[in-house]
Amino acid sequence: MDPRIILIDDSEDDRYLFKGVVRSAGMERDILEFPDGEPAWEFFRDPESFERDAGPHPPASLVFLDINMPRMGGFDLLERLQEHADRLRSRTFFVVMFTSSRNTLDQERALAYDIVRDYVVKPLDTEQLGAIIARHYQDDRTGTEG
Amino acid sequence: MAEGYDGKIVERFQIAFEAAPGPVLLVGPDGKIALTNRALDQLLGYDDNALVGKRVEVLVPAGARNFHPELRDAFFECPSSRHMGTGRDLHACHRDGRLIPVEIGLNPVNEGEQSFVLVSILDITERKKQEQRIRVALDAAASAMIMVDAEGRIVLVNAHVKDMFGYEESELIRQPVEMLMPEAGRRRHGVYRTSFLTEPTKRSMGRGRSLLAQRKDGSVFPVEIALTPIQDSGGGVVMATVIDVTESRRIQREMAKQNERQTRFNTELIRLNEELSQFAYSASHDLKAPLSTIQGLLHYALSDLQDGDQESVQSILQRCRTLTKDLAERVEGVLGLASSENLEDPEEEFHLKDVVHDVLLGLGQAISERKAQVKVEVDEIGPLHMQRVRMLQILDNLIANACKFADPHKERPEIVIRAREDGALVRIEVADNGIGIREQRSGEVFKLFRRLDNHDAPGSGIGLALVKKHVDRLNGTVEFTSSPQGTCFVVKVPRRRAA
Repeated sequence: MDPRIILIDDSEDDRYLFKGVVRSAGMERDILEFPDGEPAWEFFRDPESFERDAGPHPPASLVFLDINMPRMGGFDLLERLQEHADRLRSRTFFVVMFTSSRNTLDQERALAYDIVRDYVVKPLDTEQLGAIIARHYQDDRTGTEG
Repeated sequence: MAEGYDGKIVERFQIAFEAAPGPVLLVGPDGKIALTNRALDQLLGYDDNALVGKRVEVLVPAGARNFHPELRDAFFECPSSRHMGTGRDLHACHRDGRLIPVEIGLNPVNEGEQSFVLVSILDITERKKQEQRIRVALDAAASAMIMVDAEGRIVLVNAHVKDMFGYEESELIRQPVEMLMPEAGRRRHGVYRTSFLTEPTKRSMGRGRSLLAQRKDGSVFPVEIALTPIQDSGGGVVMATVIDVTESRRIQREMAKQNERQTRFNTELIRLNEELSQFAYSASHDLKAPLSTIQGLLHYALSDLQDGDQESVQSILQRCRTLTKDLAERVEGVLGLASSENLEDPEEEFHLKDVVHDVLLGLGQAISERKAQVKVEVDEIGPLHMQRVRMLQILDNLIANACKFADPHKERPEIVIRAREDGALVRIEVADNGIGIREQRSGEVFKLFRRLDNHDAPGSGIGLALVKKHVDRLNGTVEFTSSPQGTCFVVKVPRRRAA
């Protein structure tokens, strides 16, 4: 089963664009969207209650995470996820930072987290998305890590 | 041959005189020279025996010639073997008028009823030259030099001592060295001096203490002193080299002050630098984000255009227009914030009430659009003195925010502006019944581009950063309390800008 895509971004326009890219990459599927880190954290903390009625869980999730958001920003969410890494181990997911910032400090800071595997600067195009999926999902280790 | 004298005495001494290695002469009770030897004649420039029969005063310097006979008579009244003129510099007068430094020994000699005096002379020209050379060397030294004997008495000073302390050399010689220091340290110094002599080593004095010296006029000044022990035939003496450090201390203090200024300046620079890097960071996110979005949207519009999807292209371009407008506002805000750092407006006196009035006038449209109710409860406060534009922008942003973040679930927005004196400060409150600011690390709220809460809420994230900057520049504080019932900002700034 293909990985599920989760998008956490406060810009409605950016979410719209992102979905367009996913569509044109030929990956018709539902994308789980959150406008900032807070509802996303609610989901990560207790995904079962969140999607009780959903079908079988995809084996892994690919999380596109914006940095600069109101309420709970990208780094605040990463901090929470890191803190609760033990409890969240049962779920396989990893994070692609998805931001307009090319700031190297942001890059270094983000990639220092175990769960962060990639750093993409907006806007995203179809080739980039394809490359990311290929990089992380046609790779054996992704199935066992989380 | 001596005239008028018993030849006996001359005979008695003649052979001994010629054998004597140094200059000698024999003087009779009437003060006339009875006999000289060749050494004496040569020293003073006379032919052999040319002085015999002359009054001894021809050999005395002109200045002493008048009173010499009296002293001479006194000697004959109670003759004894002794040095002449102890403690004074004696000179013999050469035939050509030159004065020759000498030491003189006097020995009474009796011949029958008559008293004679045997005068032996030591030419100390060379010794004086040596001494002079040492003086010149000492005076050439850059510091004041004081030689002190084992009893703590001054035995030698160089010329700088006079300049430094205001005493004449004669006032210092044989005086206790403690006279050159302030009263309070004198007794202790006696002890230090004694212990130094038991273990004399070359060293600086008073290590770790600040030494003070005292001038003749009683004024006190800081010094550094080096001590060099010298083993003299007469016991241990010490050469003290004294440097007046008033000037160098002043320079030190100057430099310390300079350093302090530098440190303050550096701190300010570091602060500005931090602000700048924070600004650069914000720009990389908040100014760039809408641009990335616009870029993505336009890309999309192009492909829609190819597909002939007119409607989609139109809606995308609408979005782009809104985004560019927002972005332009942000850039404006950032520029305003940057220029608020150093406003050139002069400080002036004004009344807070007038500023509140002006702000409300400016916000009139926003207020009436939202049907907000504004209450002003400003006490009678003396005039404020500061850059008026800062106060204006603080109030403008706080009141505009109170309008902007109105809670749609409440009947209508209510804004209360209160102000009163609080010691040297003025305390200003802007309270609203808006949506409130959710719990935040309080410092965060005032950061650039920090949008606090709601995604739909308007605001560029610059207003509170600007408020904070102005308040800082006015040496004041800004805090807030917030709940779902509303928010209250409290600004406190000094009513008058401290000079």
